[in-house]
Amino acid sequence: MNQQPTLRAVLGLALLSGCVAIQAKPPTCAHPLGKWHDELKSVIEIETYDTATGAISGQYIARSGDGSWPMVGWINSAPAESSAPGKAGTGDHADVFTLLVRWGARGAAPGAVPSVTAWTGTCAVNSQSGLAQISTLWHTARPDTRFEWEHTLTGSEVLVPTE
Amino acid sequence: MNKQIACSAVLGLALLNVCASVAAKPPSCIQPVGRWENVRGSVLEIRNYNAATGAVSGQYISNSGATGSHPIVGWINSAPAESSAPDKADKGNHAEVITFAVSWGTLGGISAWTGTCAVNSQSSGREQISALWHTTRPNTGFDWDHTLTGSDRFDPIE
Repeated sequence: MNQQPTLRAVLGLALLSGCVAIQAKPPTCAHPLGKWHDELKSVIEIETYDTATGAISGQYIARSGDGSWPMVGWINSAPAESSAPGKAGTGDHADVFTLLVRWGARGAAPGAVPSVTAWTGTCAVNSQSGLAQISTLWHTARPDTRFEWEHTLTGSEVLVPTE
Repeated sequence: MNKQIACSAVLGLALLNVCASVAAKPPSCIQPVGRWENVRGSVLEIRNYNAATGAVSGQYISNSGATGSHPIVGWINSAPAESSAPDKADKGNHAEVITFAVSWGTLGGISAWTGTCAVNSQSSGREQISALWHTTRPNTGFDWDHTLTGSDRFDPIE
């Protein structure tokens, strides 16, 4: 009778270890759930991914640890033959991502201003590192600026899986 | 008894008319729920706006290549001018900011627009969304032509 609970406990622990090992695996283009970071070590965590619709959600965590902000977006992994019929087999395929964050005033890092940002780009394996990376271009729009022509900023960012 | 029913019906119809007229009102930067159209005749329909979180969702009906409607998600940030630029309030420039993204489903690709919503003082004098967009396609001839970019303007549909 006592052996059964012990066996269950061992099984439970084994399962738990399995789950932890699965969770600890860095995200990839095909299995994007997990943490990705930019070169400044800010983190984008993809927490949900609906493979049927491509919808993703999660959060952006500031590198300073001063706050996190909700993220929504899409992944589209249309197979090569569906969108470029003439180019299938000879062209280039990448999973495409877009991530949208709203920077709220509450919990914002000192100096941070409310704004919205969209990152858009491709996810593919970096042939040099052998790891997945999301290469993006981004636009950020800020509600309050000195002049009308400086609301929108742009730049590029590479996100790599956090080990 | 019959009078009560008739009265209820009239009241119901009146309420329905009020609701219909509210729904028919064109969207604005502050109340963005409704239909917005770009210069190519594509329609951004914002169906839900959560003023507390800034979350928006709805659909995009493209008139330039992609047929049908496609789901959108995004954010609006309407932080008041004084909260984010204390020393610039009154003399700076304020606009609501919006970002939204569309997944083109089986057509392949995603697009994200980011920009401002404000009165166009130079032309129409009406509110409009001015946005820059990026479109990324999964399948292209080369590895350097996945991402396209451009600009868009959306006007409220009456």
